[in-house]
Amino acid sequence: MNSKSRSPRRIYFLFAFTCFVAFTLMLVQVPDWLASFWPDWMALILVYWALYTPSRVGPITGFVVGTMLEVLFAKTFGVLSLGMAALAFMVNLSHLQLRVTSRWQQVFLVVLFVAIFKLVNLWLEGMVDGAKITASDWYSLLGNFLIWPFVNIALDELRRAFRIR
Amino acid sequence: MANQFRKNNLSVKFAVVVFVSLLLMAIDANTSWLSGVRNVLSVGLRPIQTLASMPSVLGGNVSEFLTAEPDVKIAYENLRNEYFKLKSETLLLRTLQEENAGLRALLDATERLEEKVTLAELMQVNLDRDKHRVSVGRGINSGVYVGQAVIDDQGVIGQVTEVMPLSSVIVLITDPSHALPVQVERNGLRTIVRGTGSLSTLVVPYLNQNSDIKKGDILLSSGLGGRFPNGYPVAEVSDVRIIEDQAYMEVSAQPVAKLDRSNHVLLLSREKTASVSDKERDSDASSSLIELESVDDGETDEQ
Repeated sequence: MNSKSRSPRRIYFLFAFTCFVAFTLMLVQVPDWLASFWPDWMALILVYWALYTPSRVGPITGFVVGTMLEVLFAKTFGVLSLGMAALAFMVNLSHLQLRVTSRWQQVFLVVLFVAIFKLVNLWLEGMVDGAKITASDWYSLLGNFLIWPFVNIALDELRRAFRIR
Repeated sequence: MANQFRKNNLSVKFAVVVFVSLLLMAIDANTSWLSGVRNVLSVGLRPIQTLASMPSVLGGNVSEFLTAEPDVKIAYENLRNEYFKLKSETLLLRTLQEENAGLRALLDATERLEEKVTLAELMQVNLDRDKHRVSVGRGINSGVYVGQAVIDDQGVIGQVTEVMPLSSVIVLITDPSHALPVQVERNGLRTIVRGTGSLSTLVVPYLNQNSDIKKGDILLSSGLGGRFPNGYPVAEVSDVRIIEDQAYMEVSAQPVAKLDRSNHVLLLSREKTASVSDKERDSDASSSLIELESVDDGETDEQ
């Protein structure tokens, strides 16, 4: 309860704002050579919030965010939301360990979690739509790997500016 | 103790969410009960789509702004020439149409359905990594419906699979899960083309070794199945390979529509012109079938 009173409603505003930015980044058209390496922005943003504000951002938030993505990308309901919920759950469970590891280890673990999210997601999609998992589905993990440190730093700054702990 | 409680609480939350997700998945994959929810949410999320399409739209505007005047003049000249050419062809077409209607009446065949065309602009957003699904800025508000055929000025692009209030999703003919019935323009041979996942290739499966098809043949939509109206160009056969010990030929074709380059598409609707009654509209799939049979017979007789 104590942690909740420390960071007031600002966090919801900030979370919604970062989600908005992530949605836009995911939808934007990028050149072909970049498209397959384009990071899973929303997954990274969710990992960040589930990692640093675990009492507020968890499976249910992941579910809601995933549902919105399903509407935006015209996918079957439940596929992305389950993946996002699982991602938030995993990060929530291990947030203490993740916070104290070095930056390098953290990057690897975050990419591992996102890979599990993608696996769940592609697997469910395969069940529902019969889509096949191809090698190019995994290229975005490299993008995630490269971009996570910057996402982390940028959001840290943002969080500090809004005084959310 | 408190930590333990929180962890249990988290697991319970997660379990509930997983259950709900699986339920939603089962419902949404098999029924259309959730389309209302999707519609409402999609209107709310519309600003994000608009914002995301901004960079591409702005890029287009800037390059338009920077185009030199001589280029614009040349483009204008070209367009004007094309306009006059098409206009004169339309004049001829009208006479042909009347003649055709007369001949059909003589043969007691049903009238060819006329399609109503709606112009739609592609939304510059990236739905899919392989770009086999595109979003257009027209939805329920413009009378778009699921299954509507989509063409551009060259040929068939795909069909509408999802309609939301302000936008809809089109699946391209090159999507691996998409197939459409076609016939060869030269001899009326009926077959299907299937997407491969590459934007420049389609395959024509299940053609016997002795089928009459060769490189350069144009494949037109055949109208079977009732989704795509007949007679629109779909693809050009680019490669025919006969492998001795296989049952079917390996035929690949190249789509004629500018799948990844057009910014505007046309949505065809099977609205009937006033002259045909509702009864005939219901039987339009079967009528196009009969129509094709007769075309086919005529061709074989000639040979």
